[in-house]
Amino acid sequence: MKGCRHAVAGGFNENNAMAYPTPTPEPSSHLIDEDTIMDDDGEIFDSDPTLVDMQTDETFFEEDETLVELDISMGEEGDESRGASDGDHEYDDGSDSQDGDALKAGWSEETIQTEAMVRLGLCINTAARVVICLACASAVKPRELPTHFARVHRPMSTTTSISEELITTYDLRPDVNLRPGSLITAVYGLDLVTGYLACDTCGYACKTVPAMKRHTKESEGCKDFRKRPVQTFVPNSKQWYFGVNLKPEPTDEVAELSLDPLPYLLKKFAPVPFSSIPIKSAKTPADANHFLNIEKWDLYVEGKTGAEITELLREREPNLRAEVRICVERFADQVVTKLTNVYHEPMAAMGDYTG
Amino acid sequence: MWTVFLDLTNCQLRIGLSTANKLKDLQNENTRKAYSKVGTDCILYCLGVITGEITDFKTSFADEMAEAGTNFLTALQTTSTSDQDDALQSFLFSLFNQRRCGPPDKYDFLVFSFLVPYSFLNDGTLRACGVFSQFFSKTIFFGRAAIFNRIMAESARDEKGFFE
Repeated sequence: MKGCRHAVAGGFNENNAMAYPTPTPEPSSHLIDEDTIMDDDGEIFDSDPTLVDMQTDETFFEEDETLVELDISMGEEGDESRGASDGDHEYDDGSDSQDGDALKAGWSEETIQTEAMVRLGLCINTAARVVICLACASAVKPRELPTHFARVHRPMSTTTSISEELITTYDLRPDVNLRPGSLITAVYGLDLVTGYLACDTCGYACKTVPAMKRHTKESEGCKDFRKRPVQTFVPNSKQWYFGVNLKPEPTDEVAELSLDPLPYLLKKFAPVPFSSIPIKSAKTPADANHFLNIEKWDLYVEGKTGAEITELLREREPNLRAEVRICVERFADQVVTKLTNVYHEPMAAMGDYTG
Repeated sequence: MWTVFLDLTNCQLRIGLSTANKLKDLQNENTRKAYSKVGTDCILYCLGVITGEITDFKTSFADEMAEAGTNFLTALQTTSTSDQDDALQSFLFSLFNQRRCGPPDKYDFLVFSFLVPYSFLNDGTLRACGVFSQFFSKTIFFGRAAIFNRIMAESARDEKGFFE
């Protein structure tokens, strides 16, 4: 289930007013229809108070024992704060830029965004199997979407049935893991933060080398780590970062082509010039006309391209060509003169017949 | 002499225009330049085959062709226009004065082996043979002109009539 459309800037502005994205063609399934999301009265269709908004429930993400236990249960270690409190030194050239240098991750193939999701400012990441709220730059538990919209993005709303459909259709996690558990491509919609070390195996990220070494020592299979851009599903918590891979930057040529659709379309759909196609003989007599079947002259040029033949005949010894050309033109003039002076003979001599 | 014409006219390749029309076309300077262009390419190709520079296509040529081609190359080094004209005419005569034009070995003939690739120069295709026929027609006519010219010259030299 790969990305089905290109990135669309959607969601909400800073004031939580709905900012409609530019409509784009929708090639994929329309899972959510706008009419089914909001009821006729414009009220929230489902506002189950038991569902907790992961983004706004601060108690859920406080660094309490429950949090640590949850992290350990996922095979990871929430030791960023502990590592720092132990007096560990910062990574040599690491700089904590999570407060000021946040960048948005670009569109990835793991991103799915239907037209209905565009209207709601949502997208789905199939690698992490989470729903991303683009306005909040955070992951939202699918079943908490109605509550999330009711609390943060009024008057937009959605329903629990839509949430269940999302979970079923896109195989989403009912809850949200704080880290994906492996290195994934940067999640579209989340902020990118630099200055962290990330494990090459599980993607666990922390700031200090001792903390990372402690992770590699205690986690089975984790050995190498390096400095990587990191993201988090919970930006307000300022932790639970995981390392991500960035897509390679497009070259200038690719970027130029992508900006100008005409050269791209011409390059993609223009037929290959005849001069660059190796000549093939007809496979069966039915594929060739009568003339070709009799003479079989295609065998003489089989496998050669028109460009090669042109080079063979035309690009040979330009100096000699110039000299020969003079002689040939002079010869042609002589022939014309003699032919025009002799009225009857040329008809017989040249073979007067219509081929 | 006459057998030369018979050999050429018995060639079973299609020729698009009647001789009268070709003669008429040849009086047009632009057409004549086009013929000269084909003739130049043909001569260069044949010289390339004779000297062993072109080995891409299966060709065969008589000793007469090699000798005439060498003489023409030598004549190009001289400043005598008449020498160049005579050498060129002999060379063309050798190219087109081949009794081997009849099937089945005509396709290894030097000029024919030139015509096939030449038909691909201007977007020629295997599907449509019109381009091939066009160049073939031009070149055959060019060769016939060389033969006719030679006959006329020899007739004048020997003070004989054309069919004598």
